[in-house]
Amino acid sequence: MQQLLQRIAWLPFVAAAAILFYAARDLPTMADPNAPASTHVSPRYIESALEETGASNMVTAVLADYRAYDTLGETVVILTAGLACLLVLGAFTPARSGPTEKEAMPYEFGSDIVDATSRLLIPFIILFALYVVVHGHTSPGGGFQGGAICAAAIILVRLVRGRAPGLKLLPTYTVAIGSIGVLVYTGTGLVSLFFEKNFLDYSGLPLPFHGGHLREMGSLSVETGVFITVTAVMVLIFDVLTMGSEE
Amino acid sequence: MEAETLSVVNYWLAASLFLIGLYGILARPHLVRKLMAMNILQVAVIVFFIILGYKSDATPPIVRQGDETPIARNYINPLPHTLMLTAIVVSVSTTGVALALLIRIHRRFGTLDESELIEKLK
Amino acid sequence: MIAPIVTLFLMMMVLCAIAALQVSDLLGAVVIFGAFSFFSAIFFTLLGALDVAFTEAAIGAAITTVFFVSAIYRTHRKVT
Repeated sequence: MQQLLQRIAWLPFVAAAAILFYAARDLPTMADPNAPASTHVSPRYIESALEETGASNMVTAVLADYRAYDTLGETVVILTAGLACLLVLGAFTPARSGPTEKEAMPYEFGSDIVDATSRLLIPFIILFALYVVVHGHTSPGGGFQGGAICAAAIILVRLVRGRAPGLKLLPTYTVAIGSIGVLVYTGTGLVSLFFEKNFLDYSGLPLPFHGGHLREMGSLSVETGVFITVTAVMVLIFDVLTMGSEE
Repeated sequence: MEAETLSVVNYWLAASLFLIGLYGILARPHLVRKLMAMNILQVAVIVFFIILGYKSDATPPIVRQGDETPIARNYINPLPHTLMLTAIVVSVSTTGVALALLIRIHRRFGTLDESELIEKLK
Repeated sequence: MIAPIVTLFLMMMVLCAIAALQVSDLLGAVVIFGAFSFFSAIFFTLLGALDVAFTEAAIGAAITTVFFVSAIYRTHRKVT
C-alpha cells in the first residue's frame, strides 16, 4: 500500500503543475493599474484613509481600523499558537513552570566580543521597536513588526547571556503578558461599545480629539495590544523550544 | 509585448516556487525538511498576492506630504499587503507549533524520518 | 526599468528553495532558508510592499531561523 502511494506521488504534483502553468496566461498583466484587484475595493481605502483615519500609511489604516476584526482574530490565533506550544511540550505543569539550573540554555557563546557588542546593540534595538510601533501611522511599521523586533532583541539576550542573567521572563509570565495584549485590544473595542458606538469603532472613544485624530489614537491603542502579544508569544515559543527535556 | 512576457514569466516562477514546496511536502522523507517546504509554499502564495497588487508608475501606499486628495492610480494597492502581513505572522506561529510537535515526536520515537516512523508505528 | 530585476530576484528565490530542500546538512538547509527569506524581502521591497518586506525581514529571516535552529539542536542534525 505504502509503496503504491509513493509510486503515484508524482500524479498530484504534475496535475498541480499543469493547472498552474496553464492558468498563468489568463491572469491580468503584472503592473496593470486597471486589473480587477486594483479597481474594486482598494480605491475606497486609498482615497479616504488619510481623511477618515488620520494615518498616512494606508496599510496600517486598513489593518488597525477598517479591518480591525481581522486583526483581532490574528492576534488571538497567535496567542493560541503560543499556548499550544506550551501544552504540547508539557512545560505548563506547576512543578516545572521554570527552568532549573541544569536545564539552563545549552548554548551560551561565552565570547567577550559577542557579549560587548550585544550589550551595546540591545537598547537601541528595543528603542527602534518602540519607534516602529508608535510611528507606524506615518511610516512603514506597526504592531506586528515592532513586536517581532522587540522579541528578536530579547531572544538575542537569551542567546548571548543564557537564561539566568537577562530579562527573566518565565513562560507563566509570558502567557500572562500575551493575554494582556489581547485584553488591551478587546478593551479598546469594548470602550467604544460602552459609548454607544459599534465594537471597534474608534470614533466613540472618550478622548479629547476629533475626527481622524481620535481614530488614529484608537488604532494606536490596538497596535500596542498587538505589539505586546507578538513580543510575548515569540519569546514564549523560543523558551518552550529551547527548554530542557526530562531525559 | 515585452511586459506581458515578463509578467507571465513572473507568474510561472511564483508557480514553480509553489510546486517546489508541494514536492518537498510530498517527497522529502525528513519531517523538518517537510516543514521547510511548507514555509516555501506559504511564501509562494504571498509572492503571488504581492504581484497582483503591484501597479506601474505608482508609489508605495504611504500618502506623500502635501497630497490632500490621494488618487487611487498613484498608489500601490494596500489591501494585499495587509492580508499578507498578517499571513506572515500567523505562518511563524504555526511553524512554532509544528516544531513543538516535532520535538515531541522525536522524544517519543527517537527519529524524524518518515519511513522509520511508519515502521515504528506498526 | 525595474521588471527584469524583479524577475532576477524571483529566480534567486527559486534557486534558494531548491537548495534548501536538497542540501544534505539540516543546519545548512536552515541557513539557506534564511537567505531565501531575505531574497523574498528584497523582492517585496522592489514591488513597493514596504510593510510586508519589513515583516518578512524581521520574522521570516530572523525569528523563523532561530526557531528552526533551536528545534534542530533539540532533535539531531541528521544527514538525509
